[in-house]
Amino acid sequence: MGAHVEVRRGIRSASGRAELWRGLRRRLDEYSLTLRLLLKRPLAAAGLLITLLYVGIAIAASFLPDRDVLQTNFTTAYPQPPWWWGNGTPGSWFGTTYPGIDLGMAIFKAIRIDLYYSSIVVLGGAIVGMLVGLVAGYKGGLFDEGLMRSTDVAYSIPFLVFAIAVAYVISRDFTTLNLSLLILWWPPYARLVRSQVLAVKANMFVEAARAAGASDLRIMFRHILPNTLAPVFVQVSLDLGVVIQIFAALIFIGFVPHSGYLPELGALIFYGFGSEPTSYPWTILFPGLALVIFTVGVNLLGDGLRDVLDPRLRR
Amino acid sequence: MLPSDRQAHEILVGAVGLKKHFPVKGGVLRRTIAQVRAVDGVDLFVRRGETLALVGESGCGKTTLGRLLLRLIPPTSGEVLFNVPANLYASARDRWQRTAEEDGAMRSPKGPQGDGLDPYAITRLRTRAFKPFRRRMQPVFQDPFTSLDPRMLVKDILAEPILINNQMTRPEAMERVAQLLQEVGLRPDHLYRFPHEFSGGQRQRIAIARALAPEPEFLLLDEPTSALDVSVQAQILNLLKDIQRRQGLTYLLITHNLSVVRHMADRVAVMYLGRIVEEAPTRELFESPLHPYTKALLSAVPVPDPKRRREKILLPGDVPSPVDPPTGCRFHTRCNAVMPHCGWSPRDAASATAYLFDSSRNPHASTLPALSEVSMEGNRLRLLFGGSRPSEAQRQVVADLVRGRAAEAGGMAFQAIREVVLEEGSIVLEFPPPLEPAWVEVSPGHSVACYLYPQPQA
Ligand SMILES: Nc1ncnc2c1ncn2[C@@H]1O[C@H](COP(=O)(O)OP(=O)(O)O)[C@@H](O)[C@H]1O
Ligand code: SF4
Ligand SMILES: [Mg+2]
Repeated sequence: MGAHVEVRRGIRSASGRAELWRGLRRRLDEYSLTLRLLLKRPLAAAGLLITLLYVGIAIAASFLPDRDVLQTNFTTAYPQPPWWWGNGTPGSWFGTTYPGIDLGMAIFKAIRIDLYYSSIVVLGGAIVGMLVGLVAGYKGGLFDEGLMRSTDVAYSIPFLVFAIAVAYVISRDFTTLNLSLLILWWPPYARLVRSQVLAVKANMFVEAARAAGASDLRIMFRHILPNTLAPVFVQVSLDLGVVIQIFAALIFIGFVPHSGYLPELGALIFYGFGSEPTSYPWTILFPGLALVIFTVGVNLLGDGLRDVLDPRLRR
Repeated sequence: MLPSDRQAHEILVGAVGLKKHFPVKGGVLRRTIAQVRAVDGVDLFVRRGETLALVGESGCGKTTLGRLLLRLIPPTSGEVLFNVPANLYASARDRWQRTAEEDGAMRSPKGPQGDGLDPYAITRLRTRAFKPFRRRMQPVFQDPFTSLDPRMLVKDILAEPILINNQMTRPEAMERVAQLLQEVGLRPDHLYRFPHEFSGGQRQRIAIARALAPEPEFLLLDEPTSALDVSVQAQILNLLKDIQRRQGLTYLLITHNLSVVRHMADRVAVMYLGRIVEEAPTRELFESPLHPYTKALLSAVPVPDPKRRREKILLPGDVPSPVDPPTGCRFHTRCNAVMPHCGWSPRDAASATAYLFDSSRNPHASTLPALSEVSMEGNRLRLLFGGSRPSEAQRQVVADLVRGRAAEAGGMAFQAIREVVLEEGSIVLEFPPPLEPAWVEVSPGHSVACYLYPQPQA
């Protein structure tokens, strides 16, 4: 008798695992369908490729030891051209920049830093904004009113002004810059998600879940949030490009004092500028291109995502 | 366990004095400027095991009433009783009607304490105490395209209510899910699909399976077929009938399709502008409808037998706004049998008075001073004549004009004027306070609210 029950249990839990596994596979199928739709669009596919390339570079660059970047020939203090450039230096693909830094390595490192910090800002802002927007849209009432008024306030502060103000109050360094961007980056996400929540909330499946006894938390996170994510993904990919540009711009204009060496694309362009750009054009050309290509890539990806994630275009 | 859990009582769901008023917000400050009286004093019961159909034009409050019964929204006043003995329901209904007549005012959703209804009144329970009742009443909504979460697999949609309400392990729940799917006529491999992979009819089957999942006793079917193709409608209705027969479920079927009613329902309640106006066994309602509104609704149904074909009654005008429903009988603005005492509003008379009592426009009013203002004060219409104080003779002229106008066609509002009095230098037309027709049981189980049928003595 006991053994019989044991056997039944065993069969059940095996079938339970099969059920979860099959469900997961079905979901993965759905994602791969989205991916295939994305790859069918040449521009979006290019965007995805570029973005993945940069992510790959960022990951690889984190394994490079710092001294590789600084492995330079200090005998010639002037920037050296790459080997394929006029009378170039053999063995150097991207030349060097002042003060004798290997530009290729420096750009790899810079991509890692830029991507890492802009992801923190954008994902941090997206997560905070999503939670705020979700609760505000779902609960409504005074809570909504309060939250949305505070996003209005945050919205109305120009972030360059805010970042500079914070820097002068706290300190002018890269961490502070990140912090001030993080503080200002969530309100657009809160608004975006809130408006989505209001639309999704009107669907009868929310009322059905309530009738089935689902708690508010369950309704918010299982039923509403997953249905609001598509535009958030789009916004995240577009914002990655924007934040990297802000980093570069602020550092280029000297927001962070260039005491010591900072492998960041804006900083690299700045170094190039400081060393007679007309004589050594590659010193600003390569970091500039790295920045532009990334921005274009994430924008193409974002536009593509907007199209394929729109349920009206799915079927 | 609550006492109502152990015993199966005759009335499964009963409403007494149920009201739901939605605030209308307006202006810059988003203040409440009016109330939509979506459900405005409904007494209704569904017996265990029967199908009650709720019919009425769109916008009359059917969905809101259904949501109130399932406690998906809190009532403005009134109570919902669940699994209640018939005698207790009847006395609760009487008591509520008496108190409503006495103060006529809005009452708190909680009834008087110690009336013995506490174990049944689900509207008195706190959220936590209501939880065990949730699974016993389940909805099926009209539109199967928005009633299923597009990001969930069918198996998860069906498992959710079971895992929340019934003490089952996940594998046990999955077994039940597979069985449910079969019960509504779908295949096991449909479990691993998303809602968008199904047709409307199949989606509605999934919605029905979800409603059945937590083993309910009562299903609210809110126009379950009106979003579907005609060819699928009958299949879904037959499925619902089948399930009811097998499981002994109780249905409240909301619809505006009267052929569906005839096919499905044991009893019918007819709703107009937030109130129930007639209620009868299905057969009887179709054979001898009493309320003029019911007659108009039925006249639109195609009858196969040409000899019994009724003349089609067209309802004139639009449905009045539930923000400001007509006083008296709510149907009086569109009723083809309307009588003077059915309903009136000083407003109906107000526009006509501008002509009737203006000496410059109506020669019969030439002895009156110049009419300067007509103002409405509750049930009274006050006429002001510039600075001059009207005399008794002039009051007599006004009274004659009222009588003359009342005799003309369309003079209904004037027929209702009870008295013409002189007051503070003005003439006042007095209307009686409006009363809604009483709810009278004309024959066993057949009740109606209309002045055409004998009213109880006051
Ligand atoms: N949540 C709400 N807020 C404000 N008004 C509502 C709400 N729900 C329904 N109403 C109003 O209540 C009235 C009745 O609506 P409803 O119950 O949906 O009617 P029906 O189901 O009979 O078509 C309508 O005038 C509608 O506009
Ligand atoms: S009380 Fe009856 S007759 Fe009078 S208006 Fe209403 S429905 Fe018509
Ligand atoms: Mg409705």
